Amino acid sequence: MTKLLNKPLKTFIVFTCIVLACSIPAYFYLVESIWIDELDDHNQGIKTQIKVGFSELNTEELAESIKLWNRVHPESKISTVSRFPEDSIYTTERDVMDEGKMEIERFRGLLSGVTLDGKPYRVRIETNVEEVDETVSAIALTTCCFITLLIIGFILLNRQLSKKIWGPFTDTLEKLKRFDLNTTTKIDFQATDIKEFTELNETLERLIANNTLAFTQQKEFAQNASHELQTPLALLKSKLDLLIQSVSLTEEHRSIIESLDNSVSRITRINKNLLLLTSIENKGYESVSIDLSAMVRSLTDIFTGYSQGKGKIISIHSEDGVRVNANESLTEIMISNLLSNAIRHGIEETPVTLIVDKQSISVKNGGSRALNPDALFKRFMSVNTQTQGTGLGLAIVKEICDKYHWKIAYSHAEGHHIFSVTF
Amino acid sequence: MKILIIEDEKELATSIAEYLTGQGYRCEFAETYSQAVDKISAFQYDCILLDLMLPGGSGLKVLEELKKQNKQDGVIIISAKDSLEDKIKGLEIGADDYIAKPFHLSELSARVHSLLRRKQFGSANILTLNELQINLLAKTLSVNNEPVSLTKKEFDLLLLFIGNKNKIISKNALAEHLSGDMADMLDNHDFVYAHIKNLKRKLTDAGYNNYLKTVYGTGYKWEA
Repeated sequence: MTKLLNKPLKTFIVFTCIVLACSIPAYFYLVESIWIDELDDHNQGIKTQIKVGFSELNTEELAESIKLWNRVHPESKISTVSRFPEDSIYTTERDVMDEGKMEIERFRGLLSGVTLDGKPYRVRIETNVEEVDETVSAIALTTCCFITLLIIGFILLNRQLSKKIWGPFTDTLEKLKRFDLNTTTKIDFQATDIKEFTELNETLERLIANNTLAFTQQKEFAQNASHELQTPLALLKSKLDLLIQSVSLTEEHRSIIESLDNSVSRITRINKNLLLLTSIENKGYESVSIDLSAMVRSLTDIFTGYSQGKGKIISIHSEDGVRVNANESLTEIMISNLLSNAIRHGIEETPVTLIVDKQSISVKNGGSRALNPDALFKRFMSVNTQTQGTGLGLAIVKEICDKYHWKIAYSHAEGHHIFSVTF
Repeated sequence: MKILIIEDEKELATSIAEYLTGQGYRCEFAETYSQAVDKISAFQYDCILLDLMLPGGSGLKVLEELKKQNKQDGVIIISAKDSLEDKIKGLEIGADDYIAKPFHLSELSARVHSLLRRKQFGSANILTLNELQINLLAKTLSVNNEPVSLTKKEFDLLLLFIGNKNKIISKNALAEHLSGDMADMLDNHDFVYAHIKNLKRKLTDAGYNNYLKTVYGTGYKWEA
């Protein structure tokens, strides 16, 4: 993953390199043409100088001067010709002795003819020009320096900008990462003068406000609905309690009443668990230091009768003096839910094992097939009418774990289901 | 024994009254806050069953009024709001017990019975029932002066039966009583059988006549 600002930066750098690289030949041809132009003018100037300066000399003086000129100006030569030569301009390279070393030098030459003292003369004027490679390398070097400067500048500016311009954005992002719908605390985004970010923040604020509202309403609904059910359920229960006292009931009646009573009992449990779920989410529970080892032992005592009825023994492997900070009744609910779950669903005649150590508590029971871990902790996902469970037991465990930032995990190994809570 | 049922749900109030009347109590009703305040001011009750949500005012206000008048009536709060705050607040103001709706009538009757015993006998609370001697404070049982060792759950069961003499208690009511505040309440009736069986055996071993009867397909009954 690349950072947003680094993407255009790369493109900018590549573009800059291309443009500046193209500028190297452009500069070269520009410099070269100015050079050559100037030198041609210069050569022409010398020719004019010769033409004007030599024209007023007599024959001896002329011969003398030409000789002298040729000696003083080795790069130009005046020589006699039989025929008047045509003008020509050329560039040539030659080995030249320079301070005891042979070097290739480039020359711009003018070959022309002048009439001096009535006779045709050939004039060749050559001026040293900088070599192509020297010009090119000088320009390339300069360009490279500028490219480097630009790239360094881009990177530094980019870093500065990303801190400054993207500051509010990073701030928003951080706040969103920390946001928890459950806490319903309002998010205050950092004020910014950038239009897009302001719009983003406004949109997010609206979105969060709507979601929080919907979430609260949904929670309140579950809570209110469960509360409203309590009184009719109480009525139903009490009427059934009265009905079974009747002496005139037949066996058939009694078995009908028993199924009614079982159903009412189950609704009561579901309702009570729903209320518990909403209250774990919404309410503060007082935390104390709990002796987990002792709690596990006393809970196991309570469960023994139940597990014996299902042909299972509970074995505990507990370190002594394991303590956690949490609410006592919630922790008790968590452990008893895990235990009753293991007893209810475990294969008969296999033991239920409870392991408690400093970091975790795990409950193990026999089971041949692995369960779907995604659905396990969801509400009403695992309801099995055979077992009379409420389908909320593990959801409650999960909710309690979430409340205390404990980690609940399910695994299946060697024919055992293992639920473990890591503190 | 006079009991005042303060409850706006008329059907529920009559059900409670019917059950408790069968247990030998006399029941009166109040449906609103003002009726409740009138009744508690004018009469003395052994026990008041108090719903917290009443037309015209909160049940907690009734409780405050009662305490202001320095009345000694025992109070059991019956509330649809199973919230810890309400429970703590109610007990702080001076309620003796708290039971959340929906409850079994047998559970309520046992609570009423236990409250009235406490009120009547204070700390020296030994209940004698034929050959049985139950020390409610020490939670011990003797049969013909021979101590019988019961587990906490078995003792709880015994109290439930004593508080519902000659009434049939359903298996679900027993299971709920035994699992107490546990969230995913124990749903298995094997669990109930196991505890009942143990209690029965211990009583029979101690030479107590078998008063604990099984009612086919329904539950159990303490005949006395």
